[in-house]
Amino acid sequence: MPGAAAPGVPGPDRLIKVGTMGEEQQQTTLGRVITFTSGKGGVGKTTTTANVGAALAALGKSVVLIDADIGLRNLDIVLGLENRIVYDLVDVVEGNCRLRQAMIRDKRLNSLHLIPAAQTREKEAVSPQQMKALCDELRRQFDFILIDSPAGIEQGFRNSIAGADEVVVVTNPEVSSVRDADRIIGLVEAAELPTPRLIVNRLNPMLVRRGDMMSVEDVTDILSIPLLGIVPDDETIVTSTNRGEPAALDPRSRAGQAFRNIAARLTGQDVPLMVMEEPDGAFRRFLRAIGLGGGNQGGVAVRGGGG
Amino acid sequence: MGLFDTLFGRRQASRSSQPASASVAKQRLVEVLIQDHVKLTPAAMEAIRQDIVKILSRHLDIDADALQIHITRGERGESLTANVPVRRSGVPQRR
Repeated sequence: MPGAAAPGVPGPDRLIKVGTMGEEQQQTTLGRVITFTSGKGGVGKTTTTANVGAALAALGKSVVLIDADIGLRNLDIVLGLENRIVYDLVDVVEGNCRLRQAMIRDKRLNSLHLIPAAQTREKEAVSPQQMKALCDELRRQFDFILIDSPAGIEQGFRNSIAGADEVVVVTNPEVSSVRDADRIIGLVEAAELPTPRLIVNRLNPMLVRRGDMMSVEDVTDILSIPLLGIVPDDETIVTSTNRGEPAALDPRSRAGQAFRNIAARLTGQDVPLMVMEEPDGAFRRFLRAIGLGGGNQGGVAVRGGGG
Repeated sequence: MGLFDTLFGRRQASRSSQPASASVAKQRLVEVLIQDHVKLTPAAMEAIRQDIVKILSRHLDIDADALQIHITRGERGESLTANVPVRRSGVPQRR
């Protein structure tokens, strides 16, 4: 649904502080700052942040995404905005530009914005205090401020949670990312933030069914935090990322549907967890129909509370 | 097991004597997370074991070799459980 920016939502540019020029308009209710983190790299934090942000914007929310991975900028290219960067997060905190100059407005959804990471600086170029001040500023202008945390547990991570109201931990159903998720959960709780919520990303229902991948229930048993969503392993993520078009905007993408569900849950809607179908569902159904496909009936319903 | 499963590498029945790898993963994770949380080295565990044996042996005739110590995860975090087989009640015979 490209171009689905909801009419009636004030253009975020008008909400943004414009310094000495023009009036300043602010939201009466403050936005929420939500940090996506994982500990381990490569579990899909950036993809999740981009897609949940796009899905929230498609729901008519005003959204700004912050790429906090200074030195390893990526949220821009995942969103297809890499050619439009002039200023970045470090420019904002150092006062080299006004806040709105560093915000890139998405081509498809005009309520979606990105503040890109600096590519040639160190994590230490931004302090937790500066991030907190930035979040406080953005909270008055947007419904949702989503922060894409870098991997690791060092300053980049600390910066990412400094201004957060909520944290979402992204994990894959495999041992190293679950172990790192456990570590991150401990650090989030030590920082006196609310208990984070969990996204299990890249679930392969066929592997779960044959006992070769931990189920969502296994992961939630181990991590003991509420489940925010489950995202199936889906090749549409690869193709949509290749094109710089969030899968959340592709109505046919299973992973995109999962991200849309997560966005809806973040707005307070009670959306049931997806029933995970086999990635090759149609083919297997055909085989079953002609008596070759074994005894399995349909997809694996993922279990687990929360959502 | 259908043709599809056979052709596409579905787990063979002959391998099912091994536990499924997901349950192995879960068990390994549970154990490593206990280590991560409690931060007890094997040497510290051994020292605890020896101290338990020493103290309980003053009062009971215990089977020190069969003593088992586990740290398990519960609702309220980790707890240490020692299972100490007692040979017979009463003060152990000296000498």
